[in-house]
Amino acid sequence: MKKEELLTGFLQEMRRGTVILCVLAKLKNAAYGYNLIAELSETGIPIEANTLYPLLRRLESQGLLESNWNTTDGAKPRKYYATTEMGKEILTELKTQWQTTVQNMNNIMEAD
Amino acid sequence: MKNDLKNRYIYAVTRHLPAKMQNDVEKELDSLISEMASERGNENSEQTLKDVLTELGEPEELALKYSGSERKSLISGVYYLMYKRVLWMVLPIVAAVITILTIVGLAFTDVAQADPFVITAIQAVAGIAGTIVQAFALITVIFAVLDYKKVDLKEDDFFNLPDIPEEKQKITPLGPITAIIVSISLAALWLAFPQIMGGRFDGEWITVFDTAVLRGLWVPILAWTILEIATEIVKMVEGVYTMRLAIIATIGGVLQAVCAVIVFGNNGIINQGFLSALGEYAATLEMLGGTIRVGNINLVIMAVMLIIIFFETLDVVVTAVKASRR
Repeated sequence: MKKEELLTGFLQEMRRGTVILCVLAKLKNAAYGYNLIAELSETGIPIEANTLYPLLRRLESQGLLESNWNTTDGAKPRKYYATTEMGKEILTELKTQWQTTVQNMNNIMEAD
Repeated sequence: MKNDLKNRYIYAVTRHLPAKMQNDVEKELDSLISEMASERGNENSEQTLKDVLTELGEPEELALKYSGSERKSLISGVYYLMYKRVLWMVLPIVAAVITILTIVGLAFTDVAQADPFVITAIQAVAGIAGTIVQAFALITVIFAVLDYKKVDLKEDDFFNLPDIPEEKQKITPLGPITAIIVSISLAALWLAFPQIMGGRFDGEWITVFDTAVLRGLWVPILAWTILEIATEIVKMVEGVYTMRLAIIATIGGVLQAVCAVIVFGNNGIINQGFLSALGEYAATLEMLGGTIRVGNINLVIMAVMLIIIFFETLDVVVTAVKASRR
């Protein structure tokens, strides 16, 4: 396997866990899927639609997100997602763990 | 046409999803595709639509993502490990049992009313294969349900797992499977096709065994075969020489020896016509200056019986000795 392919695979694995954290954090304010993709991309977290949309649905089925179809503004109907109370509690725990992990990782990298 | 393409794509995704999800995902994908095409500047362009759909990827892949990551396979994880093990144990048993039953069925078929040999053989093989496939399907369905329901199959107490066996004490499946195949082949030969064993004297084929007597001994022959198969299956399941296996092998060996005595102890088992023909052939040969000894046939049968009992005993002793070394 080529070095580039290996690196791409590792990066995908590394990002996989962080996407949920990003989504829960971003959706404290309700947004529709495509808008979320744009916002995440602007902050340097690119995610493809075919990954995000199924993820949103999974998080909704787990009770971490809630959704509503917005059909009032005359345009195409859009499904808005927002983090639920349980989602916010999970987010708080994840953030704490994330900060600890970053600190531990930095310690390892610096010691290297 | 472009709308057709979009709708066909959405349908190709949603058709793989549960009915309760389909409508919502359909609306969501419709909205998403419009957003993506709109961002590219020309929502009505067919090329734009193709670009968007290419970015979304294969419909089946997208459906797989929507259907959730937990169940990408019918049987997964621990269930797959156990599924494979059960298949390896059960399928040989089913194959052996159905083969024996088929052989017994053939043995009792009225030759006058039977189909030609080739047809009968094809039907028998098809029947055996069909039963094995059915067993395979049944096991697969059972494990798929166990996996779906997440039934706990793991060992509760992994602190009391059995010792690791030494290399010499391990039993590879090759030996038992070979023994089972040989055993079934012999049963087939004796019960279904005893006419194969014979010789041609003056242009006439004469069988060694009296086929009627031999088939009349189907109970001890069948019991002998089943005992052998059962013992070999226990060996495969145990996977290592244990005292439990030694006890089972001893009981199986004794019972098999009893079956051998019943079969070979029957004086009428040898075809008298074959003995006469052999005697005449020997006399003819002697006249021509050659020699052939037709000894006491009872002694020959006795020798065969003793050889069988010797190998049964040897197997039991080897199993017991290996088990005692654990």
